[in-house]
Amino acid sequence: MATLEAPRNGLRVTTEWVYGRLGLRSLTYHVPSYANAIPYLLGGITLFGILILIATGIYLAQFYHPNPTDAHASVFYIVTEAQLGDFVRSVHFWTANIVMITLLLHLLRVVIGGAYRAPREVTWAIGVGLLVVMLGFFFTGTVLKWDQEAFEALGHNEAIGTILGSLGVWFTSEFSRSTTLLTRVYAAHTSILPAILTLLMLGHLYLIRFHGIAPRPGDEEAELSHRLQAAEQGETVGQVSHFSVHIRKIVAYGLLLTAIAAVLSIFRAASLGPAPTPGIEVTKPAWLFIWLYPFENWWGLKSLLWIPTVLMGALLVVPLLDRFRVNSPRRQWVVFGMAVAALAVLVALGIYGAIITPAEHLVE
Amino acid sequence: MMDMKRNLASALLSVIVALAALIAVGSSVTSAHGNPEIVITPNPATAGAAIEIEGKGFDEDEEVSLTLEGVSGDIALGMAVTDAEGGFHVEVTLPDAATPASYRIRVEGGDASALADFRISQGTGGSQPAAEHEASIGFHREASVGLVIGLAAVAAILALAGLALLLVREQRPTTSGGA
Repeated sequence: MATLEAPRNGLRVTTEWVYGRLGLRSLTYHVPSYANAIPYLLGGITLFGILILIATGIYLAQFYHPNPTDAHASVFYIVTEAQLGDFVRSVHFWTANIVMITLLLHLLRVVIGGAYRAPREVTWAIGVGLLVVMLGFFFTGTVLKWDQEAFEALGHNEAIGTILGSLGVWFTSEFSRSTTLLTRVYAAHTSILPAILTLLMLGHLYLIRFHGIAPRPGDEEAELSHRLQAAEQGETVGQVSHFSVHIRKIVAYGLLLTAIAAVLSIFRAASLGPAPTPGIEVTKPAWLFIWLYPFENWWGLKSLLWIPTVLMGALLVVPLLDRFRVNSPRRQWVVFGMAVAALAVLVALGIYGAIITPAEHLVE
Repeated sequence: MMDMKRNLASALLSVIVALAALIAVGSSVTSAHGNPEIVITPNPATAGAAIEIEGKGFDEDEEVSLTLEGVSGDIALGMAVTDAEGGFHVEVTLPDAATPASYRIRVEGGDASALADFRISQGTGGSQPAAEHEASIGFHREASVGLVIGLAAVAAILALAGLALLLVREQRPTTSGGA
């Protein structure tokens, strides 16, 4: 029987061609409708922010000179001479800060929601790896601007490398005589960390696709899986959406965050301190690491190595520490309380670290 | 079909030969006096120090300008006059205030110019005190009103695009079963 076809206008034909060639129809698989709520979009928003960081980072790399003699002058050049350099650098700076916030909120949502529980332990472990890599990006990015704060941060990096002995030689100037430590930090920021990030991200995304989005506390994994399968087979079931909608929401919030970064960049450009003066220690770490500052005062440089190591190790084994038999709403509230308490401690340490007088730690 | 492929291959080959010819002609023109080049000694040097610049491959008996190019701007180092063979040898003094950094020295004549990387290092004589450098980065971020408006417009477009995507209504899942 002959059927009437919809008019084949240019836009429709082009859309069909693009969808057919790129396999975009495969993105219309079903996801639970709660996946489109902001808490479940945070990981994707973080990824969107990382793409903005890559784009702005590529632009900055055209002007940056990763050599101690030239680094500060080249950042100064970016800020004062390069076309839109100050703005692009500021967007890079603010996006980096926003991305770290969305990443930590994503982690918090996963912990509170129990999304790390079986069968998603490896997805969680890779996520912890991604957190470490992102912290590495944040730290190396701080060093690259090569002002006094950066110089002292690299000094701490080198001191920790020395504490680690032969295991930490890569983090010190001793590793190579042919190039400077700053140059290698630049290599880490622009090639080593991006390579690791890409591999981990691919693994993380693959496992999310494989296991699906985690059920909410109180929901049964089997029931959610059954509902999504029924939707895939064309049955009308409630509380399901499409992955394409999930992506669209991620892009939408990603654009909004980029707009926020742009506005912040216009009204409060990223700072650049004076060129480093060796032999003095007058700055404090960035907000992400400021909670460690009191420990450095109390226990010395070693605390900067061991406390983050223990903390990351503890995060890694969270799925093993979780003794709740089921992911109930009660478990959610208990974990929520623990998370709030931990955050309160970190914020209190951070505030204390911010108000105490700077002390010298590198000259011991 | 075979003819078409042959014609395409011929056309491609012609383009390659033409490009190669152009490159060959171009290079022979620039090397009429030999490629101009300069040698700087010592390199690196400290601010305030005297350096020697030796050049060759320029036009004969012409005046060439010597410029120190850095991220903060250009500094004129002086002039030199080439000999009958297009070469010169001159001693110039680097500015005392030059910041230790990487630079380029450009020598420019009428038709030819040469460029060489050069570094001003932190030496006992030329090092810049930290306080001085600190003062030098007390820069002002004076963005023009037009630029601020332009950037604000970009931010507004991004925000509107985001909001528009959020407001798009979700299509109801299509159902094909049951018929």
